[in-house]
Amino acid sequence: MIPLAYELLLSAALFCIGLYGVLARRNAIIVLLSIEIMLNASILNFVAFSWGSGNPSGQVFALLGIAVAAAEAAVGLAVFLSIYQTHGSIDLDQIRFLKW
Amino acid sequence: MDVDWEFLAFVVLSVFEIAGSILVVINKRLVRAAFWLALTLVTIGAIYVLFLSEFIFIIQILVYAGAVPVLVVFGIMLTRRRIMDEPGGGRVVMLREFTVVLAVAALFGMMAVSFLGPVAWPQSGVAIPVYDPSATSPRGIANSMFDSFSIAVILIAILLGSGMIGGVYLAKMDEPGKVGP
Repeated sequence: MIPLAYELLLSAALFCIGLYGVLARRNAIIVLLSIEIMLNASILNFVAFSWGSGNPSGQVFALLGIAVAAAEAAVGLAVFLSIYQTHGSIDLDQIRFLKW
Repeated sequence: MDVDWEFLAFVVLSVFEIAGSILVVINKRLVRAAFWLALTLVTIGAIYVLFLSEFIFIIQILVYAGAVPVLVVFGIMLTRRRIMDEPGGGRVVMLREFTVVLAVAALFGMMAVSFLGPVAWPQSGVAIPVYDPSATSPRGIANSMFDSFSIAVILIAILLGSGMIGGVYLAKMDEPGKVGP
């Protein structure tokens, strides 16, 4: 028997670790991996509350979230690889061609 | 003394998960970060099993733990090794990392206080079948997915298809410096 509050704590911890990666790291691929961690934290909550309430909608949302996360990872990686090919770097402090 | 094995497994998996995810975000080498991410995703899948959601566990292992780290590792391997290097930061970067740690710790503290407060969380759970042929309460995942959420499933299929085509388009390189076919 797992208390749901502890699962929420675990999910919050994962989300905060992912948020640290997104905000503090400069390597774009590490930022992508951190976003995956944050998405997993939210999917964990969907599954846990689906278990707690007996409603299958949470698990359906988890499946849809997993599919979106996989698409996001593929497109994000392709974008960063082509940025690397054209700019020679994926350091997010140096990529500023969308800023002026 | 009666040991609650489920809770013990949850605590052990949580330790692995948090340690793995910390190693992902602080790692300076991308390939190691990708493999630590695989560990984190597998342990999250094991927690789905503890919540009696074996189907989500299978999907997690197939899609996440199987595909995403492999995608990242291949993406890194197919480019030059310099993509992995992150030059050491100066004082500005150190200051930023310190500020982010403080902000994230404050956020976590706030969430922890609100979660451990007097909230009536569900005390017990039920296993949800993948498919329930009688379609009475509780209904299965497949019943819900192809009944209430059928439009969402179609939209996800379109999103995945267009995402993959876009990814191939972006990553295709005929000559260096030229993006797209």
